[in-house]
Amino acid sequence: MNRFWLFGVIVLTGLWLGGCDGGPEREAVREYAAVATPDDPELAETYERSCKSCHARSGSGAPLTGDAVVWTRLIENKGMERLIEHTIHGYRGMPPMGHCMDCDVEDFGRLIGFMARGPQE
Amino acid sequence: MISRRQLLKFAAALPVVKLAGAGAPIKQARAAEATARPASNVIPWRNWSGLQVAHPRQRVAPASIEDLQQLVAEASGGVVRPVGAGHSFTPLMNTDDVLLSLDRIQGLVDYDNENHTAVMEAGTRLYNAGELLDEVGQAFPNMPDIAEQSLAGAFGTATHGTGAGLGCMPVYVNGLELITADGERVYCDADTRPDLFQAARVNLGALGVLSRVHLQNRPSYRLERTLEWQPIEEILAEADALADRHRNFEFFYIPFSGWGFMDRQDITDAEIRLSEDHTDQNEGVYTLQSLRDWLGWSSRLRGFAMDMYMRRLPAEHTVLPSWQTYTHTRAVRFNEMEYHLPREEGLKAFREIREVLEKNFPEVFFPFEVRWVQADDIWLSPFYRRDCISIAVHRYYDEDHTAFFKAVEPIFRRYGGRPHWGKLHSLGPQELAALYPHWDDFLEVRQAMDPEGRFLNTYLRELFGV
Repeated sequence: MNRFWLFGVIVLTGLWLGGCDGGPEREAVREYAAVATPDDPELAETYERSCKSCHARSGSGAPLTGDAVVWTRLIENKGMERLIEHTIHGYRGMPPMGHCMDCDVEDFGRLIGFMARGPQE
Repeated sequence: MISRRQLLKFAAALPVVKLAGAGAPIKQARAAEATARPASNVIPWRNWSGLQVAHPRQRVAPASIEDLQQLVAEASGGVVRPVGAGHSFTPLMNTDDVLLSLDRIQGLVDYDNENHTAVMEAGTRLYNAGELLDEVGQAFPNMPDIAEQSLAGAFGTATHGTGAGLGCMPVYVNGLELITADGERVYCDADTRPDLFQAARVNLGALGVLSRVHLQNRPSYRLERTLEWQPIEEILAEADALADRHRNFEFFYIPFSGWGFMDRQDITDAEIRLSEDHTDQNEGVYTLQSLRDWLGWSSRLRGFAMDMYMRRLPAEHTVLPSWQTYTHTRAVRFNEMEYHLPREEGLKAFREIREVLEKNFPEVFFPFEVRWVQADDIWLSPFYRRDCISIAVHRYYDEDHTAFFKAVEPIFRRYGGRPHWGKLHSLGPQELAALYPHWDDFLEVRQAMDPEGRFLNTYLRELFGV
């Protein structure tokens, strides 16, 4: 058996051994993210035209607004300063400035603070 | 069916021989750039991909057209550049002076359902524009696939969707409103200031700030969409005929796989329907990246794995309102080069590009995108008086694109291609003047509109040769 076909056998074995896709969905978080908006009208206006397009939509890859478990872990592991730095410079799928071209550091901090809060907070 | 996770598990089980340098150069460049930042508290502005960086001393987002007029008129010297989503890959928006966001000037201003026309604020993002029009029973005749772009950016750079019988976005505009360098508000259409209208339909943000667009729409409609995987040679054999047969047709090619998928869309009255076998294109790109990382050392093995996976992928059928079918959020960032080629030459160029890539660039994993666009008569439209096939190549945002793009650009140029204004290219004023019969006419209008060059950054000065 040449090397190429040997790899073919490994492919098939690997695929056969592979697990199945799936996992529990958190419907409540998704529902909250889709409708949540800051109480402060100025912050709400900024959120609506920037963060919301990704952070309110499940499947975008961005942590959902109000998903306190994920945000708490992010803030604990990275720290607020680093999260703001990622926002300014972009990070993986997150575009630089998070779609808010006129935001300053304070705005980004307030927006992250809002998104990190769960529905009951 | 073989799942994406199963495919990745297989790849991860193989010996780790990652491609050397697949992502290193650009990261080093970014680190150097970060240390070269000004010491002040100025927040850098970057475009969507992160490739372009500038340090505007002022970033402003006026809340109304009147505020916009005042801001432009009173901006104290320096270059003013309007910005939407920052989705251009070229340095069109870069300025260290005044960056002007139109994000707070969005919305539907007026509409007329008898003639299917509407007036919209130019800062409106496409995903909002499509929904707002749908609410009053109208729709764009065609749309591009990036949802985040602003109307101003889409019109300014001749952004396009796909459809052999459909033009780029600026084709479907009846009139435009701009804010000039001294803050004046001007309107133009085919009868009122016709030269300005011709220049402003594709304007690169160089004539003024586009504030409102008067759209020629059509009644809202649904599209039935079919995504189907096929060997690339089979796609190439029928692609041009399918482009004529379907209202919207395009295909993607997955490098090193021998496979691509076709995207066909036609107007329908059928009920809304979502596909049960939906492929997330963002996740798909990460899958291709992982396969590159783990199997890139053997193009043959990489191709074998992808072939096994792709030949089992089912077709997807959806029925959705047109604006939801056309536009998508791209959650995987990239840099892009796209050229628009004479329709009869496009697929020949595609074959050459594929050959160059698969021979010399194993690190590339992003799909090619191939679209059809109808000819128009707009001065700086890349589709000026010729039907085109548009071919786009991409590289992941965090990996160096330069060698690959440098290798394929001569192929695009040899077939008479014109570059997309918002995507990477190396052409200067002499080459562009040869490609655009109305190049000098545009420059004349630009000079009259902005004699002091307040909207010209360094890149635009070099591009125009002024």
